[in-house]
Amino acid sequence: MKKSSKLKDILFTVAFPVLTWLVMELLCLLFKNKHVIATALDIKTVIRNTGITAVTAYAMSFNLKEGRFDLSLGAQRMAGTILGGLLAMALGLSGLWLLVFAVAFGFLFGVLTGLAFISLRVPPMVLGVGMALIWEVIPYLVSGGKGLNLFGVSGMGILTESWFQILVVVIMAVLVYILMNYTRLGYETKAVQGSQLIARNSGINIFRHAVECYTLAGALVCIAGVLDVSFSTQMSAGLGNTSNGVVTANMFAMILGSYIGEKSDSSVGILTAALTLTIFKYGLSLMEFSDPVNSVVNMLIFIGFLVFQANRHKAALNRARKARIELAKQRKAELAAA
Amino acid sequence: MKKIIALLLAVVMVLGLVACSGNSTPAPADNNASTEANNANTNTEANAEPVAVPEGLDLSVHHKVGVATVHEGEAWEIARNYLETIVGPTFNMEFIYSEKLSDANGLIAFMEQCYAAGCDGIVNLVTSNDAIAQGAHKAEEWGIWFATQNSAWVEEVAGLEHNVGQCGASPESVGEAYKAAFKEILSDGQPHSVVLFEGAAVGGDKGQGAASHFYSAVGVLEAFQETYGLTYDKPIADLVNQQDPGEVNTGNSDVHIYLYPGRNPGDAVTALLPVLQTGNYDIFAAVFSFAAFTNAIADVEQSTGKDIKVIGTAQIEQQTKTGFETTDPTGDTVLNGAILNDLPLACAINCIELMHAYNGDVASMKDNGQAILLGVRSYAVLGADTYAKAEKLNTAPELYILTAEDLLALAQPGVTWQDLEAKLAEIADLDALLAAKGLN
Repeated sequence: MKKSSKLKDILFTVAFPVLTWLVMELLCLLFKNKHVIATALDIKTVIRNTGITAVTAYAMSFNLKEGRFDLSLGAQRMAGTILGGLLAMALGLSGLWLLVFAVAFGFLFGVLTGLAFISLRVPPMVLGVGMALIWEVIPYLVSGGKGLNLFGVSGMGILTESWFQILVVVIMAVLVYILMNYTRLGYETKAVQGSQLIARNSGINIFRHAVECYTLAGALVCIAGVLDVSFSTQMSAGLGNTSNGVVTANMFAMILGSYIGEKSDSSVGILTAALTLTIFKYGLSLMEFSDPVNSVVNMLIFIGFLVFQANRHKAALNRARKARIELAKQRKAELAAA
Repeated sequence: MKKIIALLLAVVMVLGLVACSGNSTPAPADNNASTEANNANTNTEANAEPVAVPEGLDLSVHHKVGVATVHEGEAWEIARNYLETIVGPTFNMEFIYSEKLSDANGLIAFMEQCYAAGCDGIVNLVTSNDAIAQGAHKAEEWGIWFATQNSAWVEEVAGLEHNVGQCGASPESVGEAYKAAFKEILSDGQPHSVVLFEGAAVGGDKGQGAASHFYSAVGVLEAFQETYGLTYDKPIADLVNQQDPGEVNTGNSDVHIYLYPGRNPGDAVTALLPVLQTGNYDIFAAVFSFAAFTNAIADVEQSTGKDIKVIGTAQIEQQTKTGFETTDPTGDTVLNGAILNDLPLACAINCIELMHAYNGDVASMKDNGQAILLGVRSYAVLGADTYAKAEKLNTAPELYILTAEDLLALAQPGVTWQDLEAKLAEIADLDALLAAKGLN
């Protein structure tokens, strides 16, 4: 019984990317006579995009699942990646060091944002906007408005290697899995997700916990930034809260991942969701839709999923209600007969 | 302890917010030092020599000019340094810069701050039609002069007294540069195929997209048509205005043309990888952000073993130099051709227009009272050798396309917009320009 349930859960998890691939493959073959995954390069692209999406979604999930939407994550990503990159380049170090420095800056920005949150007690979204404006200025000033340009910089090749990207994503997934299942942080996360008030009354230091979440989110989002810039070669130092779009674009992956994760674990769920959505988007681009059409299709599906999420328990609740009424009627009839 | 931390963080936040508010609180630019430290191209200030002021040109009045920019990065730093070290001292102008703006609201907010700071002129680089219209109306209301950098003429405000004129990369000349570059590449008698990232080309001929992107795509399609005698199934303008990406029906099975309209290079890279992987294409062109595609192209070259030539719109800056000097997996240079736009030149023309207004002869910059559009030509550079010469432009006071002497000559009374147009035509030929600067 237990084994069959586990198998069901695995099939449920695997079904998302597999079914998505099947649907997109069918559509691409029917309308464009193309395969979604045709060459090793396609696999490389899917791996890279999955990695970036998954790591960003992990970063968002630390705060968002507890009701804190950190709107400064994009700015932390930009600031950490640009500063890490500039430092590594100034010291003549390789891409690996870029990653290390970016993560270090991400930790710093994350911890400062977390400290600001618990000290100032400003609502997370409002604080996020303010902190984003602050973090955006730092790389702008340091780079003289130029941002980060890795085009032609030697020693950065390792960051675009598929094996390296897979390694980073797997390490992140395992790390998140361990953090969420075998550590105090995971225990506290589950408690706070249930009820922050009860968690606090039970002795959990919810302020320290919030800082830890912000810190981890900052570090993770910078890893995503490094994976992104290593391929695109450029990251501009934009001002005016323009940095957040790339992060919020991954919200669907986080929410879908949480749903898939109900049958396994959120770390597995988010990775699976990232793979699913990457295949879906890759398929759409093969269908040769324009960017606006792609966005509309993506958003419609996202909204559709949110509607499903909000109403998925309705049928079960209705069935339970009907059963209760039926039972009451039956009892009433029994009492009347007696 | 908690209170102290809270207080410190509050102070940091307030300071940060103040620092962020460059958009609404302009400050005179004083970062020459950092600009120069960051950019070897821009070390020009120390060598500037005084130039004789033409008779009748009054430079005794100090003018404050607000520069509303949409640019950032190295190319903008070069332009900004030109304003600071050449244009400003020559015209007795002081510049106040915005942060990167994107729309009419940002422009108006910045202009309000400039007006309050005592600016009597605006150089506007925000290119949307509504921003230009709103900015020009605001300037008219306040009685300050308004010059715009944009490729399309905005008729709605052309008749306003304080609108001194427009200047921008001539879209037609960008198209001509692309056409010339492609004709050169296609002239080897072999069948070639291209993937073109055409940016905001859609609607560019109707004032909706980017005119320069539209004409770039037109230039490429015309070059292919004329070289191979292609018979497109639609007029070229209709092909460029198609919203969806896809292959053009060329009527020649050996020649493939794939057009990808889109404003996001990140999405375009993912979408174009499978197209490039087919092995049908040996040229890639990007109307902006060519560098964002280079890793993807290197992957495809490595996978197929086939060289893909890259041509892109660029500025004279380190990135372009790197492109011409770095090799791809097939041993060819990463960048094979560049369509160069010179940002300092357009800025200079705007300031010359303002100087005429300051000196009371704004009419000379207008055609029957209507502000006019002056087109700055683009340069087609094919190969590292030519670029090595072109990149020396803007590296010393005498190597700017318009030197201090030129600026004064063009700002003196009696010079008209036709003279400016003639000057722009004179410097349109890159070889001649390089020869005149002693760079060939």
